[in-house]
Amino acid sequence: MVYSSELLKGSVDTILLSLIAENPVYGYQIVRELEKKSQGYFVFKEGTLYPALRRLERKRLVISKWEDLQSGRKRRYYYITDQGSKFLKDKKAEWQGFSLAINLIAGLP
Amino acid sequence: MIADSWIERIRGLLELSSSQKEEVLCELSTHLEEEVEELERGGLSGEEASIKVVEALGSTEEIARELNQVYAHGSDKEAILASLPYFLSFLLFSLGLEENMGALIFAGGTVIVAVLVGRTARPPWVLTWMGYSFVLLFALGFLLWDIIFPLALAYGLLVISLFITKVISVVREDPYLIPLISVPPLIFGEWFLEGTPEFKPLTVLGFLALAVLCSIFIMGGRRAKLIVCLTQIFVLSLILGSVGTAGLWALPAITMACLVLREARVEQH
Repeated sequence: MVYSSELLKGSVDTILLSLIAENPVYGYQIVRELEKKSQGYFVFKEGTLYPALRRLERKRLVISKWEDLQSGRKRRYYYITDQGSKFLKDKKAEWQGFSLAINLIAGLP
Repeated sequence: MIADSWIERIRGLLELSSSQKEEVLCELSTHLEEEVEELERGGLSGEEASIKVVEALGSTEEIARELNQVYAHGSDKEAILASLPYFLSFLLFSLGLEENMGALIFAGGTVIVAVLVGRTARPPWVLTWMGYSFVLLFALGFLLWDIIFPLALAYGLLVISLFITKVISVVREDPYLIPLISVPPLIFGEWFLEGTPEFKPLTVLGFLALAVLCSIFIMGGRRAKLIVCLTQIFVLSLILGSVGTAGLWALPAITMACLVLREARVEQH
């Protein structure tokens, strides 16, 4: 299935916040979770995830914390903020109304 | 090797402060290494896995461009916060309230904001407030000078060393940020040394100019930051020149300009 990149761009914040809202996650985990949950539907350049996460952090919708791993590496975990939860709730309601209207107009079930 | 050169390409393209750059590269390196390891467990060779992961991560130019954009531009709120101390100074001096209780409350307020915000994180806008909080610390030294000279000397040296330590940490992070923290103490330090003379109207307007420049600095991209940074140093020189008579004020301004221009040259390369 092909989708417009503009459609994905407009939904990136909602998609990322939905994943982060479930559990604190790190970048690579987000890529894997996204692939699994969308059943391979969303394919994107993984590196572009990080500017999107930074944007969310700048908007104070998420915060990040570094954790040291036993391997000596460091992982940056993302946590949703109260502001982020509220934003996500609003976006979900907006999406629900929008998709319902599109389905009604297009005659989709 | 392939993964390392991908990271190095990104490093060369990022126009961020050194701490921001290290954080971004650390996060990307961890992603890259973990994905390579997973593919290797799936049976690919190290080189095959690296090629696949680098391909999945995408264009270094696109990622660096997006990251540079995200980091470069501060919000309207941050711009207002950064310029607020200068704007309040402009109001205090233009209304002749600099020796009023309001000035003391303002100075005390800058210390509280600088300590509270600077303790947990250090967004660039708080550097102006930190600079102003040093003004109060210096002012206390000048007050002590007339009362207990040896104590004032020890206190002065302590505050100066604390100020230099802060400036060095800012230089290490990003030399473009130096004027934000250094300009207020230099202006007021010179003002105290000259015996707090009345500011000329044009000097007072200098505070307004610095407020505008701070806002542009916070909101602008990297190139705008360089121009604003040098303009701030120029305005500082004009203000110091109009307040003092000694030529000593030129030294910190020239040092700042050199550091900033050096950083700009390094970035170009």
